[in-house]
Amino acid sequence: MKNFSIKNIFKDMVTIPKIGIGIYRVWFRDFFYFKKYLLASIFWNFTEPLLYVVAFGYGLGFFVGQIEGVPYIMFLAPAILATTAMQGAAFESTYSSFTKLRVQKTYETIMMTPISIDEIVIGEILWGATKAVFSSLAVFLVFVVLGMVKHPTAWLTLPVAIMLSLCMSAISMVVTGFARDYDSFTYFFAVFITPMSLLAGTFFPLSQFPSWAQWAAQALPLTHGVHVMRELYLGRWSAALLGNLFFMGLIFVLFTNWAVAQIRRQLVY
Amino acid sequence: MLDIVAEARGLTKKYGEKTVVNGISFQIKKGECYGLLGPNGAGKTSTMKMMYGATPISGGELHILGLDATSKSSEIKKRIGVVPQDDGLDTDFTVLENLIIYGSYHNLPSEVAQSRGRELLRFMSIDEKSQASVDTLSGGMKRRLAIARGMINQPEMLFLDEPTTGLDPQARLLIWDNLRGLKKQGMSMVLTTHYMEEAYQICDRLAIMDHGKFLCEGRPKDLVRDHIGKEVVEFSCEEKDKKYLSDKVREKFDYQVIRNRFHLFIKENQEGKDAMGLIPTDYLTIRKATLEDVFLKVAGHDLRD
Repeated sequence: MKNFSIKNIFKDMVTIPKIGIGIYRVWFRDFFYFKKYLLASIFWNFTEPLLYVVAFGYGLGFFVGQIEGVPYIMFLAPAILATTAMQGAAFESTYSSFTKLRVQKTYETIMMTPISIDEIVIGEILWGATKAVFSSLAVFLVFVVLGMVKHPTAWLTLPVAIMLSLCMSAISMVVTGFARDYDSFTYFFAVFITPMSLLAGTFFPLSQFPSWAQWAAQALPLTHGVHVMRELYLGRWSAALLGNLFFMGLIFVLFTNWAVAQIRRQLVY
Repeated sequence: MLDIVAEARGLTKKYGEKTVVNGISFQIKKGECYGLLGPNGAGKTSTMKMMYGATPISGGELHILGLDATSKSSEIKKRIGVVPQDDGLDTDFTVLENLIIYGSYHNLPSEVAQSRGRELLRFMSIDEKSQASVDTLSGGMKRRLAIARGMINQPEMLFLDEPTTGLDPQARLLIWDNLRGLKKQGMSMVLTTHYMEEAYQICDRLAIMDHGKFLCEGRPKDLVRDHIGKEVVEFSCEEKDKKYLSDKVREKFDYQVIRNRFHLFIKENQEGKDAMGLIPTDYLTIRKATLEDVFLKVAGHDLRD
């Protein structure tokens, strides 16, 4: 990999992309496709989180009892929302985006029009996040139906899910920019996504970890997403949560810029 | 200057150390159909890609519709149509949806793209497929859809990269008809092709390229007349007779030998039957000179992959 250095990555991360209406056009293309297969997409959004609720919430929760003063299922629910958002974004902005980048050559076609590469990449990142938020929303509605939403602030988990999805979508898009084939994503999921969904304070509190690991977990976007969403879900609020949101926002911006630069190198030479 | 739609001066393209387009210059006039011919790897597609803004230029100057290709790329893209070599259709959508979505990239409202799209599908004679999925189309239909798509923004100029490559003869004829129809409407076109016959019939002017350079440029008829003549006399010979025969025809005729076959070029002021007297064989052919002869003469006749 030529010119791969911390300095160049930093340069990519702070280069401001040129944006315009093209972002919406690219986003709309994906939305248009999504709409065609709405029913099929929605169905799968419900199944996995429901399994989690049944297996871990009701099943495991029976033995766990309470965690941090709340029933295990209430502790777990916001984490399921967050993990759903993260995984939705990670899937869409790796497998789907890679297909459009390399297999279907969708981006090259869009490049024949006045839409810039910056707009293509950002539109795709926004779409990845949008689809992820649809999934989170579906899960949230399941929670509402099951009577698991007890505090009004719980509804604020949805905007936080947007932030987390954007952040994860941008990171995944960078991975897509480096990927050689679909196998590259197997590593990404095995090394990053799956461990994160287990270790980011999702199934058990971070306080179970030794302190160094607690610190390390702060580097994971999901840790911040889960924390904020859990606080809001359980009706708690503090100004410190803004720090978590800021962290996710920063990752989103830096990785979006990086993704734009990296995918441009794939498309223009 | 208004009637020049494309102008290149010393246009160069390098990929790393490799120079694929090496300082070419040309002008394309409004309403003209301009062809780029050449063997594989000659630099045709790279030249096209620079013109429609898919790849940056490495050197020289390039203006499309009077606009600088480097700094005004998105302005240019608004006003041109592109039909790339691999169609680049969106397989997630139907035929008409492809036009609507592509129209939206050009900021066309859905209704406008739809009515224009239907009209273009009719013009390209694939309107009965408008609801079909792109995957179900034949190669020729895909290409025609790609051409319709390239026209959706009512471009002032159309770029077609090998519009007939890989199609069967019937499909090719249909595309030729479509292109002639566009030409009649006054569309300025640039196309690349391997098919000499196609280039001869459709192009007002063309350039034969190899190794990133222009070998010759002009009207197809002029190129044939100037490089070859009016007719070609062909005959085969044994390896051992090559030198003897060469000496014999050299004085009167231009010629080239392709493997074991002589091609004598008969100029305007010469007669094909004069050659017959020279050659001690009954197995010779007289035929009209074609662009293919020009191509083989200027680009050589080694095998390319």
